[in-house]
Amino acid sequence: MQKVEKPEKTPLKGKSQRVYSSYLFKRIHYDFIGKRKIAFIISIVTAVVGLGSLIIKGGFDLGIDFRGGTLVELRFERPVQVDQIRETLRTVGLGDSIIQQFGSDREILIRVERGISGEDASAKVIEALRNGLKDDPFEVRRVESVGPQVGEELTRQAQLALLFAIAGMVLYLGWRFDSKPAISMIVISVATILLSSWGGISIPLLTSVALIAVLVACVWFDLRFAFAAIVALIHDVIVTIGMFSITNREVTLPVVAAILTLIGYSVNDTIVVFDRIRENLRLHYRTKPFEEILNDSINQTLSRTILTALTVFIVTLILYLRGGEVINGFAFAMLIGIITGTYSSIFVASPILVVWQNISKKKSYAPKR
Amino acid sequence: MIVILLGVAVWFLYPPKDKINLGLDLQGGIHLALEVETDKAVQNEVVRAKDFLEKELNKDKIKYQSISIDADQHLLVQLADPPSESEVLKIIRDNLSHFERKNAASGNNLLVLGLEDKTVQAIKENAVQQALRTIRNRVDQFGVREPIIQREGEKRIIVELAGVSDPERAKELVGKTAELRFQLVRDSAPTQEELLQRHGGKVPEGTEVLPQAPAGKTGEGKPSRYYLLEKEAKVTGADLKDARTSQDEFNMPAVSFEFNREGSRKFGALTEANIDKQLAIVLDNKVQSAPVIRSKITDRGQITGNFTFEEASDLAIVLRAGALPAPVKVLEDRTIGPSLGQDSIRLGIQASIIGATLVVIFMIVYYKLSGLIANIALAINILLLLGALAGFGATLTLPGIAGIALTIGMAVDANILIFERIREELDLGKTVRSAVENGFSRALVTIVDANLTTLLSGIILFQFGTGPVKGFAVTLSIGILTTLFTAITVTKFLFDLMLSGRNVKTLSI
Repeated sequence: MQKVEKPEKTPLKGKSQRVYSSYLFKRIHYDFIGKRKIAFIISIVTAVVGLGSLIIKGGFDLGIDFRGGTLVELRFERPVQVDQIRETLRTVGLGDSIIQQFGSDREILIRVERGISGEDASAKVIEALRNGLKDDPFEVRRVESVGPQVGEELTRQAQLALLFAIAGMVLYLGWRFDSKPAISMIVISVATILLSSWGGISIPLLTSVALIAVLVACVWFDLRFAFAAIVALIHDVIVTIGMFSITNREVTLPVVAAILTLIGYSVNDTIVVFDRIRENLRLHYRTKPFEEILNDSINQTLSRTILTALTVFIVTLILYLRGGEVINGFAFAMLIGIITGTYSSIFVASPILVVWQNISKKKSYAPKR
Repeated sequence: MIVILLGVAVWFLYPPKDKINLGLDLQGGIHLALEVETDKAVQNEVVRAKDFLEKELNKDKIKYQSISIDADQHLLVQLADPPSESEVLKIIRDNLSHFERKNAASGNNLLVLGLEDKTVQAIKENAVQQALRTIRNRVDQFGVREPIIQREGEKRIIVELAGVSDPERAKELVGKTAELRFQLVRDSAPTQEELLQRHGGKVPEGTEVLPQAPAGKTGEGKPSRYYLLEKEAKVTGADLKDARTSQDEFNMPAVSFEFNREGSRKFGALTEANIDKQLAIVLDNKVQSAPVIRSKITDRGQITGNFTFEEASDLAIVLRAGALPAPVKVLEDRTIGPSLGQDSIRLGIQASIIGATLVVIFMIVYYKLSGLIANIALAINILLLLGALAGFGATLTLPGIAGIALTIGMAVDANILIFERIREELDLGKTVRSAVENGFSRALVTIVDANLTTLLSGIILFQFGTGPVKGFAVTLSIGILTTLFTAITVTKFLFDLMLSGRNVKTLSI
């Protein structure tokens, strides 16, 4: 494994010329590609841990948006004990509800599962507490109650949204990176979209099958860039959902929205790096080894990648810390998403390109267009 | 150039502070998805037919063994002997013409009757229409600003009420069936068993047993008394002309009502014929009170019983607006209390400002003067975004505010792409002017590319999202468009401005 050399110094033109690029990034010329084995290991480990957690815990925590049920958020004027509340709720048959304190000891979250009470349980809960805890007045901050039908509908909508988002990305990647052979991608995407409107089909199953079909098509038609980008995308989604599973957080509608957004962001990030790679391939394929071109490209885009990730991360971190309880899940998903989205462009997508090139029969990496 | 600046200026004029539509999760309010139980409406019709048929057959002294209703809402009339069949059929034809015979004559004296399909459809459709009207009526009287009450699909109604200070009360008001009936009392007892015992262990024909309404809204206490009532309610809530709050003899809140002309006549007849008997006032199948009829009453009366002032007031509203033709089931309820709404706005804006400030500081530190240009572009970007939101009448939700925050983060990306390219060009030794030109043109393709994918996500979210999530999709999507616009035009313009005329040797970047 040839060590990549540091770039040449900026040619001076007589008088001393200011170096514009950030000193910080100029110094760093990291051998990303050389370290790809470690990267693979980390990626696979995180993905497996995520998947493992999902399998062990039997899926992830679905919020009431999808499962159905009732959620009541109360703020008491004085601190109350969870037990008091449970006792009071027991008198109306809701003693099995999940009662949590969050934020301060005056804020209570009560979750009633679907099936414990047929109709909207919120009125029951509120009245029981009003009567049972007369000395502890409270205000109702929010109520969310989702019946089983609506829960099913929302679940299906979320699944469809994910399907369409991935299909959209696949279409776009196919068109953007590898045009002509990408017809197969178009066919698969369109077919998937059409199939999705058939009522009886399981959307998650359809999505998985379609993804596999796409990947196979990529391998068959030598659509390396699309392949790498899609794998990076899948990696990001798995890791994000895995993190939710590990940290026992609920997946609610806003969280799904965050996942859809981070899909966009991850592909975005990957495209930026790949654009640079292709540009450099065009310029240097005769003169430099493949891995060196890749490494250079990554280093060149490194400043942008890190900086953008940083700005979005800062903003999202503030939202996570100070945005309040309602948006917390969303912010968390975005935080994870930004980290893995950035990570995957460098340490998942690019190494795949190298492996592909090494495996590929044609040793020429002349750019196709 | 000037055109662009003008365009920007026009947008500036567009958004006055309170022109932005706030979502329910920021204003506080209620979102309800209700389903009209149309099957019950059909059921009610069949039950009414059964009661009518029983009375008619008894009146005409036609013998029958039983009349019952099966699971498919068919009337099963078991006759005692064959000849009565044609008489019964005549009664049906004359009075219950929307029923048709569902079984062939087979000599076992069984008549199976069912509603015609188109009648069933009509009943269901009517139920939904009437429910819509009634709910609108009630909400109107409750006085909510710009309520949204819409039909969705075959039997769903979406109700959105913004800025409601007492959501529970509003929900009760909307969902209460509010069926008022006046029924004569035959007997009453403290428990159901005792009551039935007195009448031979079962409910006599033409009567029903109903409990007393316990105190409290959702009625979780045990009823203190059970009443045996005449099933037929000669006078109902439909006969009311008006209802309003008043006070009873103990100065407790009560509801006084007034009959319309037909109602007065019927009520007069009823009271006249039943002096010294108890008349039960039944609300939603619970006995509110059962005063004794002292004299003939024609035009008005009063409903009493453990009401708070709000309860009485709401009951009056609901009686005025009319009963729901069939019960409504709450399919989805998203209620945000006003305090949470305000907190959310506060926190959301705070977080966005802190985030934005950090980003602004960062840009200046890292890119110096060019960073300042980027910040100006950012400010214009956000203003355009808010202007567009106000201009399109889009709704801002809490995730929407997050979308604005994200846009701030991503908008900087476009500038970073450009600046990094410019830096590279400068390092290669190009002149400032050509470096800027190249930087912009080279970065452009990538900027558009990259933002397209996020825009795609935004569009899909918009299509599939609901409420708050839709708000996020809107701000994100519009944010991307304004970002693209400002990155391409505004930033370039500002750079050109900075470089025009003078021969700049170095660039603060």
